[in-house]
Amino acid sequence: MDRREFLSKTGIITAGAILVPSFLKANTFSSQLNLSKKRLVVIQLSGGNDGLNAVVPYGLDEYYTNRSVLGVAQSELLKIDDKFGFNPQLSGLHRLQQKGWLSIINSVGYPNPNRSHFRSMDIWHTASDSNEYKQTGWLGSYLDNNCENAFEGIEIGGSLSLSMKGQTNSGVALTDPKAFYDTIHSDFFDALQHPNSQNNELNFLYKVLNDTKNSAKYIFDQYKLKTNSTDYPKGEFAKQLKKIATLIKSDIQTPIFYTTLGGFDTHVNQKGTQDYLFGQLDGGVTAFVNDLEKDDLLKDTTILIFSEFGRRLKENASRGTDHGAANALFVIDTNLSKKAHGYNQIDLSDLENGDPKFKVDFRSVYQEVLTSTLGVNSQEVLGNQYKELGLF
Amino acid sequence: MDFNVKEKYHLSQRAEFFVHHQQLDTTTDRARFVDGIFDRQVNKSLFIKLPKWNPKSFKNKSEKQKREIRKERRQQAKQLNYLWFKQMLDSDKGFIEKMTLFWHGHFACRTIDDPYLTLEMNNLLRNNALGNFKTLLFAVAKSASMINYLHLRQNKKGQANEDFARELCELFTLGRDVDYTEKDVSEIARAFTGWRTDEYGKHLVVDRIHDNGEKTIFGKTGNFNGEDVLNMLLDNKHTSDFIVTKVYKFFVKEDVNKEHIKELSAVFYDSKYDITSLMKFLFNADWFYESKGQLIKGPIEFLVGFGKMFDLKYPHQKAIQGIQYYLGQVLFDPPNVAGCAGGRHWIDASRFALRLRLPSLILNRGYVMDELSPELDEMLAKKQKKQDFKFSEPINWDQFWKNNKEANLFDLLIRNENNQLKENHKEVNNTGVIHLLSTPDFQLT
Repeated sequence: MDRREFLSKTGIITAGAILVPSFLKANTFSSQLNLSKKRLVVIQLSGGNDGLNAVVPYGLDEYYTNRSVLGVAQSELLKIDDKFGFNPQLSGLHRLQQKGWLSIINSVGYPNPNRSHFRSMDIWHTASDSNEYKQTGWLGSYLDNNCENAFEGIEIGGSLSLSMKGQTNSGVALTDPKAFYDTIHSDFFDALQHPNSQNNELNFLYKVLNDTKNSAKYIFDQYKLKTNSTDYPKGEFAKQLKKIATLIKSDIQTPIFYTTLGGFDTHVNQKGTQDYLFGQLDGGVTAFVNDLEKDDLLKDTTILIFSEFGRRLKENASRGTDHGAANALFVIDTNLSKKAHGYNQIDLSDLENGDPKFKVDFRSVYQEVLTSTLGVNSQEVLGNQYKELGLF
Repeated sequence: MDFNVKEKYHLSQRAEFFVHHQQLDTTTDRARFVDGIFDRQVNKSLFIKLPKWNPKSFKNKSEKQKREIRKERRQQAKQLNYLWFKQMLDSDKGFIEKMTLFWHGHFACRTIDDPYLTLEMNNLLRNNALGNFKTLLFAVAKSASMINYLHLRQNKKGQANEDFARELCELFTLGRDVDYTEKDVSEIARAFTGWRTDEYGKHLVVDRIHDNGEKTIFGKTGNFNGEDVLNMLLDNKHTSDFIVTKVYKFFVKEDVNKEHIKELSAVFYDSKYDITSLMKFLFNADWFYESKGQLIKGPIEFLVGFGKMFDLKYPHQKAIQGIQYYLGQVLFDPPNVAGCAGGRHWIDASRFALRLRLPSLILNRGYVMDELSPELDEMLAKKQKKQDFKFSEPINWDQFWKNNKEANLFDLLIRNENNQLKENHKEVNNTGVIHLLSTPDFQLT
């Protein structure tokens, strides 16, 4: 039974109950909610991560022919199999992969790839075709169909991603639970009364006001419950993941978390930048995974790591790489199937405009996490059925 | 017909962001009041001094020099964002800038990296903002900005790129899936093959790559070129319907009344797409005044309206761009060619909290954290420290009260009838004004 169904079966969704703040409903019934559901943590790598130097196809000649400067030497790699190895900066991800907890899905993309950061990110956010413009995100559609409160999708960051924007229900973006609470917490805002107006837009805004106040309070209250003394590496990204872990440990009723690590647009002198960013990514994710595992919370968590596109196979003249298309993506989960480990292949002999062709539609991956992690009908969210990958 | 003060507030805030009570035209004749708005608009092109465009010298630069030039251009484009924002605050430009903002959303084109393109597009939108839509459409289609943005450069005989053709139908004229097919899109792309600009940005058609063959478009067959297609699109009444619907959603309300659209479209089409005729008709329609308080302000409207209210100078370029970003609308940086979705799409919990808090922060001389700026990614990569920055100069409250001395403040600031709120704010002082500006009600116009 999902939340909506539960609430409607128990008669909570009735005209008279509308005045009950929705977060109270969630709180009151927290033990019954999310019974079979897990939570999803999305990590967005902005700028177009060079997947070819993350999961290095050292067994393919074309890699070293095209990457004479930037190619990572075979001896440095953390081997996955006889063709692929992780960049040495990604030792934590490599360990997870060796444990069977991390799936590499390679050549993920979509037909007619767009090489603009903004447009391609939009496409990933809205799960649209490359010639289609949607105003709501794929996680936003999930929130629309299954949730009622802003706190059910939390993005740690300054501005809410299009992914998290729904038609009627959007997630909430915050850099810090206390700061967000302080923004909306004041006697004046508390005293504002819903006008029950004839004006639908006004009623909508008062509804958002209540939701914002309640969500801010609920998130901050949960955040304060336990101090998280686990050590995380330095840097903003690890801090964001620590905030997410702290919230998860509080038993917060939030199925979706979202955060971003930016700076991957490495046209020039890629190695230094990428090494630094990979260090941030690997250190943060490793600490996060260990932290959740310690409290036995990792088993209910799926982590999805994606970027808007990969980079071109051939490096450019500035020791960098230009915008590409299909890319490697990571799914971390302790319950991956055997099949989940069969998607790390890439074909470098068959290129389109100098980029490896896409083999797996990114929406197939969305479909898997919607179905298995979030336990919903993916077609209602994505509008279409995509090829099954059988990751879980 | 008697035109009362609440109707004047409604019209002037929709058309010109905000006008002080004491500056309102005292006429009680609606048509004269409307004409007055049109008459006082001053069309001033955006301008900054840029190095003379020299494509050849750029080509010969080293990679490092090119990077520096690009960086400088990004700075210049940011400066233009600031200049346009400031221009919206001018009392003699409110309506023309509001119309330019509308067209900026309709012909959404991302030029944030290039001051030359930014200037070209923004000024051509402004020059035609109250002119003729046909002239505007032709100018946009021939602009270097749009030709670059929608890949007309890559559209060649035998190797058509359909990007422009598709958006032309879907977003600029007919509307999605109205009266055109996939086949039409392909054929239209052929008609636009060879559309380029020379290296100085002037439009030309390159014969060598233009497809001179016969095309079948909208059921007609002939050797059509790009201009023929634009004319065919303008002949179709659905183009008029589509444009007036967008105007309606921007100036009236999101919940579209089909009868009103019919009236507007008839005026627009019969006037051969005269924008001034359309807008004058709209502002003189009774139903326009019934829509008060039903439109959620966009971030720019919110910031400019608020700025005009207190004659804010918004002295810090970085601050105002940061706020545009937090609130979800950065000038010259639309999310994509479809522009920003308006109405309730502007609102999510985070942005809403900031909107409610912002007036008190500014009016109480607060500080706004820089931790959410567009440069965040860059800063993180460079491991730079976050910094606070000051948002505004001290508020001149005496001036505010002088400018609005005869106004009922609730009626001036709040566009809907929230009796409870009105009851609590019969007489207001500075704090009361801040309160009114910190309500959900103030988000509406």
